[in-house]
Amino acid sequence: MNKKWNGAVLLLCMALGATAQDLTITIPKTDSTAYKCYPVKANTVFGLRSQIACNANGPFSVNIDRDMSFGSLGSWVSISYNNNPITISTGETAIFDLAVQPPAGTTDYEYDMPVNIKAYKNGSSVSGFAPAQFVVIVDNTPPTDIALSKRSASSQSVTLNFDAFDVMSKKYTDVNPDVGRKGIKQFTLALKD
Amino acid sequence: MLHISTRIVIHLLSISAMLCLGAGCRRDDPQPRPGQTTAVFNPNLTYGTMTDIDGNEYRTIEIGHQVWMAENLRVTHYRNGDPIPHMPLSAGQGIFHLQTQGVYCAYDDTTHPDSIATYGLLYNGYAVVDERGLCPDGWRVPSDEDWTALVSHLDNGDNAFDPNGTGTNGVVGGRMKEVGYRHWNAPNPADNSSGFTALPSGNRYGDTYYYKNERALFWTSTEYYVDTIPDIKGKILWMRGIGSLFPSIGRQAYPKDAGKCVRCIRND
Repeated sequence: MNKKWNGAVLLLCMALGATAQDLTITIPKTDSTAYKCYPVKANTVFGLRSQIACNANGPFSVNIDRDMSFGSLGSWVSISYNNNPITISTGETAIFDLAVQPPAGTTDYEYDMPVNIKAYKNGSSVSGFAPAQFVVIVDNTPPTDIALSKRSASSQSVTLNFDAFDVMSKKYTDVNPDVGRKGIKQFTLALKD
Repeated sequence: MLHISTRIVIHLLSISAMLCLGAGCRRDDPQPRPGQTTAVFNPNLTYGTMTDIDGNEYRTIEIGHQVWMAENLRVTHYRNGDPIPHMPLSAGQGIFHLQTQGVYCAYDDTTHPDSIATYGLLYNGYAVVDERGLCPDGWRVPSDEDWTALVSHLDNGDNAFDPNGTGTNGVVGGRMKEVGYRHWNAPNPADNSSGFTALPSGNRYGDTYYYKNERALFWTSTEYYVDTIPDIKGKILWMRGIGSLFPSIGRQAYPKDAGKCVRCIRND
């Protein structure tokens, strides 16, 4: 039964003039990071662009298959333009911007996010296009290794060197230089008596 | 015209290949795979053994009131002897994702015996729930409840569960992971105090293999379903995941058409 169903799906795709290679979905921001997003803290929002390219046999009407994407974490993700379908011809790309917000209190972990395409051709649903995936890294832990040393001193001032990092710091900076040195965006030093 | 004919021929070849794979072109008899695991188990614990229908032997570990496999499944036949179709990337683009029957593959399509013995095979969710049985007699694919019981036991009163009720736990993954960097990428915070010895076997989604050395992703046998989204019925399973960055274990839902690893639990 299953084999017949597989064959039926392929035959339907043939009849509609669609193949698995016709549409591809990519998330360029994760290309250099092996499909991972840069680490974020819970309750912060970050953007991610997903692109659906029509490689052949267009036009297709496409959007993100929200029901089959993001697993049980769909509530974290909102999709630009309410995920309304976009019609693309061969050689064109539809862009869907995702806003991802792990809720407050989310435990440190690497959360898997599958992303699937929903597509229509001539008004009929077509399937079989390869999905994509990305991982949301939630890291609420502050830097663990903090170093403070005296650089110079005079009778009226002291200059200190300050450094802070942890095992995640390199990952932060590697994938997103905007976050600052060693992944630390902001230092706050409190001076007390 | 030539283009259309070519495409039809390609499609027919794809269908033939798929039917061939589904039926099992080679009706091979179950036999154990060669190869030795390179996993580092907890030397302070005592492991048992179990054997699958192919004759592959696995370590087992008692954790609380449960007995789990301490290695990933690498069987290629269902419990009744039917072969599980093999679906490497060479089966065709988009083919794995289309399956609604059980299939398996090896990460990066490797045939290296020790790699398969170490990391096991990746099965799609349809193999996991197939009534012919993926696990040996007396064993089953653990349900979401089985995993919840395991995580609750290993939490050991730390109450490190995600406050949002997702089931993710912030400490138990470290108690389940192999120690060191032989297979895991750094930092890998782990002590493997449970003996479970989770290994980062990665997964397959569509035509891409992801996250070897970084993620251990295990199927459960429990369907994920939401009343308000009837279209997903029968298409998504709960899973558990452990990563290299944190000592956490996550609980998420994932489409069945992905390839992930399997640990069996003994029926009691």
